[in-house]
Amino acid sequence: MVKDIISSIFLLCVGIIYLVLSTHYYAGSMANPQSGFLPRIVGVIIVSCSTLLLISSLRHRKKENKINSLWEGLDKKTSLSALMALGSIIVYLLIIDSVGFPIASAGLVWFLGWMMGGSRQILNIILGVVSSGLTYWMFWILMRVPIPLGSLWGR
Amino acid sequence: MGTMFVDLIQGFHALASAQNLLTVLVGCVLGTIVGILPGLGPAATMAILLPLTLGLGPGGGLILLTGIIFGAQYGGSTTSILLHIPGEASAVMTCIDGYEMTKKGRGGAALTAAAVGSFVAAQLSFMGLQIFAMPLARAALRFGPPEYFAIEFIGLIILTNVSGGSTVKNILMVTVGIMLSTIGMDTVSGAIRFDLGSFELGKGIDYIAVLMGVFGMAEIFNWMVTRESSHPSLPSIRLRDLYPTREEWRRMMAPIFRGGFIGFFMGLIPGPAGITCTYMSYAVEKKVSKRPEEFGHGAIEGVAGPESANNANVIGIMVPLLSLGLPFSGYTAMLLGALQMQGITPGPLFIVQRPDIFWLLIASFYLGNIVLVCFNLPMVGIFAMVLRIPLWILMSAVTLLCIIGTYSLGNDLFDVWIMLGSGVLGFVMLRFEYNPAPLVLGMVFGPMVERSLIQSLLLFHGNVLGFWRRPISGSVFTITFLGFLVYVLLKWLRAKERVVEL
Repeated sequence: MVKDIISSIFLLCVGIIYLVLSTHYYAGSMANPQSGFLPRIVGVIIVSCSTLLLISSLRHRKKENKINSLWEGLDKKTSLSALMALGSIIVYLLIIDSVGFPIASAGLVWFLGWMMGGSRQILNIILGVVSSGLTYWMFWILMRVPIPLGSLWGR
Repeated sequence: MGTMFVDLIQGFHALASAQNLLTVLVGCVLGTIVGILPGLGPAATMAILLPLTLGLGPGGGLILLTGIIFGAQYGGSTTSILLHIPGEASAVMTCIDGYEMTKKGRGGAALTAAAVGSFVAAQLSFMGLQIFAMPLARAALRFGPPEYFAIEFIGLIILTNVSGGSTVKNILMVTVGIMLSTIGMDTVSGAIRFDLGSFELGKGIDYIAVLMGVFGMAEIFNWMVTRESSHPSLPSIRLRDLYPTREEWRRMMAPIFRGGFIGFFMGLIPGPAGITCTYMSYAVEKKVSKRPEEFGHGAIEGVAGPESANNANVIGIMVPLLSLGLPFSGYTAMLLGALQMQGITPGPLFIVQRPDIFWLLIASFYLGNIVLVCFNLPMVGIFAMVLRIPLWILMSAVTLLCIIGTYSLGNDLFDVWIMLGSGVLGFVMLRFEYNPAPLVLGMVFGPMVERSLIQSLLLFHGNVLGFWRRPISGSVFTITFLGFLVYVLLKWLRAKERVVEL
């Protein structure tokens, strides 16, 4: 199965990197295990299991489908909007310290609403302002969480 | 037993504050709504609301989260029966006969069977919880690191086998979870590991942020690319339609008790017993029924049994968490997170040292179920109207709640980055058919496993046979290895049979 081949190769790489990094920590002995002890065992298990999964998926590859199976059930338009949404969250996290939570959040929810299928912009804007206001009230006023208020405005 | 009754009364006394009563109500209503809505499951909701529980105190936080779980069970059955949409996986079996009953005009009776079944099974399971949790916690006070390691080990082994899907994939997810838990400070020696020179990584990865990502954000991303419909048409149910006939009452009573029994005891086993127990209850009811041909065509036993099992299971899964401090399911991992955020570590000492919270929780279970059965049945039409809210409104607001909720864990944007990364990882895992629950449980169990393993080895001077010199750990390991041998033997025999058939 293509999905299993890709995922097992990825996990094999993760396991090898982790195993190599774990050698930086002293494992000790069975009688006196140290901080590298469990990571070695975990690394070996990840490498062994991902190798096992890779071998078994390679053996069954002929019966299974092609690389296209990875995109099964995914619509180009909705996938693109999901990617845009992810991008907008990344931008949000990058600017929140300077712009501040209330403005950045209102903008984020407006954009997310649009990407998630809200066709009427006025509704998206209202949603953004209301969600941002409510969460600001809940976390800043009620729970006293020190949310970033924006260095650009000197706060 | 008498003391337990007095403790329970004290629990009810503590519950009788305006804030606690309101929390029970809010939890139940929220749970019902997410149970009704396809797309946002109770696990995701619990994950998103986890930081909010900080302001409610340990008792209030737990009451809110358990209210969500119970409410989701009731809500899930509503859409399963009326619309053939299981709001969550454990309501799938209810769909089969529940929807058939709706088509025959008996949807109201099916809703009552589900609600009464859930209620009765829950009340029985509460007694089971009180009976089992206390003695288990007292016994666990005598447990040392080897006993804990043995229980954690067998728990993870069972989890990888029963979590559904490939066992190898589940083992991989558990070990990747343990791997992530080793980032940061080593709980035994205090050394900083795998920080890659980063101060943030040196603090470790908060499993609650990962939990919110793989359950909360991943659900949102998945909904975004699949865009399930949110506008199904709802059949109208009048109040008088809710009364089952005398024959229906008679037929559903035994399945309720059997389902409750199956659900509760399967909850004690690690893994996604919430789904498995409903399948098992349905199969049992079909087997013992005098009218097995009616199953699949609107048999009330097919609704009452699985629904009772489903609700009883939620209480069963609390036993290992509250008495041993070991969460064997995604839900209990979140309850553990809620307790840890309040500085409380569940385990044998939890019941002994904080009986106030334990009994408050039990009292809230009772009250929550009474609230659900009294409110949900008459208000089924109102709750089902939630389905008319466009999901994009809900999802975009929930995304913001996920972000700010994660930020409030430690007032650190790094946690939000972890949550976002975990959300993407969770989405990819869904596409690649990996179960996220073993990953999170691996992260939760990682530090516990490491601590108990290292302490045990130090105790036995490196001799692993030491585990067999202690009765509890020895028996647990022997059962595990015998179970493994039987499993391998059965697989070998089946493969041999297949070769002979060919």
